[in-house]
Amino acid sequence: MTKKILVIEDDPKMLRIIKDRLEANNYQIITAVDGEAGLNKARSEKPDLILLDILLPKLNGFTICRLLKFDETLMSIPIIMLTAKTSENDLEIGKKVGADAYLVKPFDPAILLLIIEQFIAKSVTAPFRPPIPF
Amino acid sequence: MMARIAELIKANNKIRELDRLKSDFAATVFHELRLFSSVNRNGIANLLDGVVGEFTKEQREYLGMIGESSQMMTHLLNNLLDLSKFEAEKTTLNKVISEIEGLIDKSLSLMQIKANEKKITIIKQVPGNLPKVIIDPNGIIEVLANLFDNAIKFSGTGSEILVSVQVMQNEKLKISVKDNGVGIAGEGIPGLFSEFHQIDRSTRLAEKGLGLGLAICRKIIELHAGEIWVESEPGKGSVFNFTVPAAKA
Repeated sequence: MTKKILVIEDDPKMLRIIKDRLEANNYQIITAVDGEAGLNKARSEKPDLILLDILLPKLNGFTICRLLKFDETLMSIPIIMLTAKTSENDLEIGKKVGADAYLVKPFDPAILLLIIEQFIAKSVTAPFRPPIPF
Repeated sequence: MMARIAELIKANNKIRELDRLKSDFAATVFHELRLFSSVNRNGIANLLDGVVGEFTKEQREYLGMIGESSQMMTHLLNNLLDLSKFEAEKTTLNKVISEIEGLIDKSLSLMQIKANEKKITIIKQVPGNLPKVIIDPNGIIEVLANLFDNAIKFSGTGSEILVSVQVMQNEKLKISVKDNGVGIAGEGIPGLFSEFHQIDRSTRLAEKGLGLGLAICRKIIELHAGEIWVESEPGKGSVFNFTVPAAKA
């Protein structure tokens, strides 16, 4: 069955690039361009995996991640943080809010696909071990 | 007298504040630029990988060229971003007790492809029973990768690079990267570790980079209370050395 990935990213160009790449690899993609819409879609669509930007309008990625990871019905959805921010501090916060992996833009598409595959292949029971450690 | 001192302190604080604002502004601009360059690089990667259809050989060559210069731009931006963080004193190291040999191996694996392209052999001389070091692993890997990158860049095809570790008297470890490349004349050495320094301005920037790498290395090593220096002579290669504190046994 086609796996469903929610991409939450406010830059329309980057969103398109990620969407096209993942669709070419046979994933079903749903998108959101701000934090609030992203959180709502995560709740209503229950995707198999979430790609999450950090700097987002309305709700930032860290907050979304924490809210999802505290929600018993959603906590098992793997979350990959995808961001241009690289500071150690962000990595630390990412860990604390329970993100499963962290990729820096520009990302290597092969690595993104590999991480997604590993998470999705496990088809999910929490707790998760990220394939690429922080 | 006291009034004069108070005045000077005030003026000094104002300058510091302006400097901080400048660095914050620079960091924001670089962050935005990085986002743009991410779109370029990932967009080109999609095109080259045929995500939205196939291209002719010539079209792919053009995409390759755009991709390559986009990659260099990202690299430069990353370096500028690093430097602006140092300037804003926002870089905090995450120091842990580590083994230096593992870090050397990691940075070597990052540079292996570049070394292979020039058929350069990198020889490692690390004595057994080394004391552990207290360092930020990512920072030290970055320093080592920068030094290997330079050594490869300035070495001839088929030559050797030697990386060695020595225990110093003052509870420090000295790590040295020695190449047999073009070497540096005495007058070129003092400014080598400052920003935007390049020895030979006539050489294309694209080949040598903007000379930010060693400035970043110096800042990382200084944050470790270590030293970084070079011994070199034209035509006789260079040895880049740095020290880091050993962990007490």
